Amino acid sequence: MAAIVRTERLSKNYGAVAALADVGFECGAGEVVGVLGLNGAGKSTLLRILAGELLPGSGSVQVAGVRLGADSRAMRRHVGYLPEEPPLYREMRVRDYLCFAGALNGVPRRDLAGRVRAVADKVHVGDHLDRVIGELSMGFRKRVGIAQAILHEPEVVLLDEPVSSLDPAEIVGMRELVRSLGGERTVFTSSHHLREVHETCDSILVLHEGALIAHGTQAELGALADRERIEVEVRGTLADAARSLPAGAAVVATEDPGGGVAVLTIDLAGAPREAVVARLVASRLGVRRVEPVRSDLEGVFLDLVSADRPGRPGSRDPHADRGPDGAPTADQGDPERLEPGTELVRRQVGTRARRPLMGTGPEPPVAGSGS
Amino acid sequence: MGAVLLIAQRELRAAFAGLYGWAILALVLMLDGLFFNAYTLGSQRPSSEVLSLFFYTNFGVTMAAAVFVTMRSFAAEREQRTLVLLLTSPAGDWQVVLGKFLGALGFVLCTVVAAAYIPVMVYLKGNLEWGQAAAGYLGIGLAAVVCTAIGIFCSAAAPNQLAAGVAAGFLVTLQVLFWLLSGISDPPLDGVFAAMDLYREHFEPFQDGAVHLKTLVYAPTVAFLFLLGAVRVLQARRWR
Repeated sequence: MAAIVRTERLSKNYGAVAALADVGFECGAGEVVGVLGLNGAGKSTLLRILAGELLPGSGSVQVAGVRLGADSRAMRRHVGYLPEEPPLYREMRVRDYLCFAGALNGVPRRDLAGRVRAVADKVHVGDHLDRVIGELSMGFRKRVGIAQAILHEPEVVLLDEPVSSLDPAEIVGMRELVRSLGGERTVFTSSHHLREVHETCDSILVLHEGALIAHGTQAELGALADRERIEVEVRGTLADAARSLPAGAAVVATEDPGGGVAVLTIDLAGAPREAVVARLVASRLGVRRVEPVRSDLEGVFLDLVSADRPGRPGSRDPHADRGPDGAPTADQGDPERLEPGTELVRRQVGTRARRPLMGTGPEPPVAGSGS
Repeated sequence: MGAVLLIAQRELRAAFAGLYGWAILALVLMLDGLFFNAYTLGSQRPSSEVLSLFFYTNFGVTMAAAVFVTMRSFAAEREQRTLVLLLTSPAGDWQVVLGKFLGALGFVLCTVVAAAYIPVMVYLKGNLEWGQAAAGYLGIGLAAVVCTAIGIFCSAAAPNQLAAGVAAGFLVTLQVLFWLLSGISDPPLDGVFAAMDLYREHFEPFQDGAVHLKTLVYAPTVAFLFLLGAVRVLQARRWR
């Protein structure tokens, strides 16, 4: 698949602060790409550069074969952009605003009315075309913002935090809308809500402190944190259960439901699952339940940002693991570097059950289920 | 050119869409009327003098209107986060600045046209000299071009509307006070300051019916420089 968006060694500083550092990736046509990161990770800066609003300090950006800087105006023709705060003129009616945005982005005058109607219907604001924008709810404003972003049929659509400030019903609608935009065009949607990314995106860019620390499908990212874990329910005490584990295996989370029962999440760390269970049985702990623990996007994300290692497996940053001459560094053969930061992961997983990042609802599976 | 006119049209419509534009228009008409009443009504002046006085006051009122209109131009859009729509469109920075400039200038000229009932009264009740009227309005138009360009630059560069208004007010006032500086400066600076003075050197002859070629060069040049400055500000912000 030909890359529709390509960045190489993209860097951007705000004063002494590096908002982006050596970010390089490629995305194909029709993909829905989630840009994931904590607040201040560089998500908005990346999208603003892709939109042509900002120029990078160094590195290059190509959209649909057109390079930013060489012909920025031509590049902007291929991009539709919805910032976190939709750029809406509150005094205008929706129809007038969309006509203005369409004409500004080069939609021929003869096609404008039809295009506005079609796009308004697609984003479900067709019944509100004659309303003044200032009277619309935030959900409808976001939809109008998306309409202006896709009106000129760009190959790439950039949506910065499209679900922020929306109520739950609006979030569901927006999720479906974002999903529906993929296929026809490449969509970048930034969020720190993992559920949004999980449910709408084909692939994910993970940014942390300006660095691209991973890029891949959810399955590929899941493989990064693919330590085998099991949840075991035993009759006995937590201390007894922990003592009976073989070397290497470690308890990463515990639960005490009472009644003489303990629930442990165990990181097997290479130990065979049956060996762990056998040790628990041999210790005369009544094993009531054994279940594999699936890696989820939240876990993967926390692992990645806690380990904070640019160039780790899965990252497609072509330069992160290379020396100044472009040759692989000795680090690449270091097995420690290939393992996610185990201690940090333990700490994060231990708190995960009590402090979910994903909001309400069941945790998503790692990959392949789609929605 | 399409994007320029599109942006200009939207600016002009936006100015009349809210209270702000109508308030400025009302203020302009009130001030023009008050000054006309104070300076000329009831006096036995010849029509040419009445017209000259009208242009004199209308010049000041137009300058103020240009400052108030343009202070919102970029600064308000930045505050409302709508500027990004223009900056991420295929329109170039020059087109954005020119569109904003023409939109604001259009509004300022609307205020000038709205006050044209005064020369019409002179025509109906006195002896209007068409040449003087044409020259006077040409001078007002050129002054509006200069002041609007200054306002656009300040609005692009300032962090907010208030700062844009203060900066534009200062620069516009400076434009009409250069003659004071020329009076206290030694050659060759006195000549430079005199040449830069917007009122005495450039506009005053127009209100009396004389069209000076140097002003026809001066006004577009100054406007171009300030608009160029606004473009450079926008370009620089893309790097920040």
